[in-house]
Amino acid sequence: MNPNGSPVSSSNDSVEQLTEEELTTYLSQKTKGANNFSKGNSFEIHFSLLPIARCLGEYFDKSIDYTFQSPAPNHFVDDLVVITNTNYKECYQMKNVQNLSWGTGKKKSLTFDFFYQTQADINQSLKLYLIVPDSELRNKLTNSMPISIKKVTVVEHFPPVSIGQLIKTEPLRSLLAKISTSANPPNDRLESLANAILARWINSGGLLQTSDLIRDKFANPFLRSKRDNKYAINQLRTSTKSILDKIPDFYYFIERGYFHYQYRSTEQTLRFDCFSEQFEIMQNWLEREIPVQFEGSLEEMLMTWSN
Amino acid sequence: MEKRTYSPYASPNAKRALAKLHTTEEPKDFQDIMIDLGSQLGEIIAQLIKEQKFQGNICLACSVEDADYLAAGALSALSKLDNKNKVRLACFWNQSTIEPYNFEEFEFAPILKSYKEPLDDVPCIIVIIKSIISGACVVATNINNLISSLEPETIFVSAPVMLNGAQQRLQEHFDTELIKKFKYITFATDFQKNEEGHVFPGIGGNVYELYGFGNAKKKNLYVPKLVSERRRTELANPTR
Repeated sequence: MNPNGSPVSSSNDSVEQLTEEELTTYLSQKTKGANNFSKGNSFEIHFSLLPIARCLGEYFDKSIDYTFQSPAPNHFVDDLVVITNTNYKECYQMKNVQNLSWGTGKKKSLTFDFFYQTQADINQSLKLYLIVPDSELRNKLTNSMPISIKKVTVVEHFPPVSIGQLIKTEPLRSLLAKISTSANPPNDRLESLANAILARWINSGGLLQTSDLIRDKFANPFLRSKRDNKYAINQLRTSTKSILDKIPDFYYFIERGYFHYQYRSTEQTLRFDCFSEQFEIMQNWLEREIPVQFEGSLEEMLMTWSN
Repeated sequence: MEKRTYSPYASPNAKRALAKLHTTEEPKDFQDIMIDLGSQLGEIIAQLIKEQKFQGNICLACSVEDADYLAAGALSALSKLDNKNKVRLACFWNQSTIEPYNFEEFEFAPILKSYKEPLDDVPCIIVIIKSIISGACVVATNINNLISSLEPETIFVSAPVMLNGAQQRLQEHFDTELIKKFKYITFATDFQKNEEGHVFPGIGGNVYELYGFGNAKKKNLYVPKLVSERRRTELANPTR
């Protein structure tokens, strides 16, 4: 029987058949004492960045709020589960090992867990992922994948390296760049964003929504604004624009909701977006002081507000 | 606990300067010694660059608090190289290292502002200079920023004093190919921190206080004279 009470598909005779009660017991023991955030689990923790960064991108584009759970109770594939309120689910199993197989379909094998996850979510739009550290292992597991789970399962390779190295790899680099405060962010800004996201994720204890991350005090200065940039540009008053335009060698632009400037090889992105009270305070100051050059009070104030 | 060890680069002059750091009474004294130490480090690096027969640009990168002192000393020495007109300055204003939710493993030191002179389209070397390298977070951040647009042949990482293990902590941020380009130049390695979290004996305490900036927030409001002067010349890229 499946956990939802329906009979198990008869085309998968190699998967161990359990009663509903046995499956419930199996599930309850699976996550007992599990802690995916212990120090030795950096592979699992670092990998979480990928789906979280991707989902943040979709949150900005389409306002879809995702929920992340790790470990996910009552799931067979439970290292990380990502759900939305639109009946869509992703389940991840991460194995930082050099050797792995799908197993024989007996309890605790990957075949068993993945198969029963497809059955438990038979009425849901589902995607299952097996994450391994080596591309050869990925190829081997892809080629030997049981037919019963092939339609919804993907094996992916994720390098077991530090965050500093990860942010330079694709697709993570592009996913982080997409949610950053500038379109072409340097490595250090991506690394800051990655660290802030992961710290918030671990601090959550394993239950987090994309909307929680937008509000996070550490991630916030590195995340793009949710609102369309054209509205951010409109926040700049004509009067303050006129003042800034007259300052020699001072070049500014508003991108991803943030004010960026350059002055003779000096660069800064302000730490508050154009919709913030701080941006209003800045504009009030500009209108009051009417700076005519960058060096001096203007440079000092731009730093004071960001410091 | 292991005592300070000196590197082969530590001349009697360097050791004397390091010792003097602990007897300064005024920021001016500390600043002068740092200029001297920067100059000594710069001379060593200049000699190594000369031996490499390198032709191209040198990007000297520093944090704002070191610009007018340690970095100015190094700049003076590096500028005496044959390609003296090709030394370019990069100065970073970093926020103090943040440990979000007190998770040390996710610490970062974001760059609030930067001054980076453009380099020619020729081979380049990066020289990072810092008063003291302990956790290596700031140095890693600044190197990360520079290599977003530069492909250096060599990266000199230099400081008068480093905490034991700093090199390993720095290298965790980068892949093997890049790490091969790192060359470490220091006079002394220390093995402990005091109760306040400063490397001991280190450079004598909190670098911002010793320099006369007061604290980390205040040093970020400072615009180094070196930056102001160079920004007015053709070294800085006019943006309009």
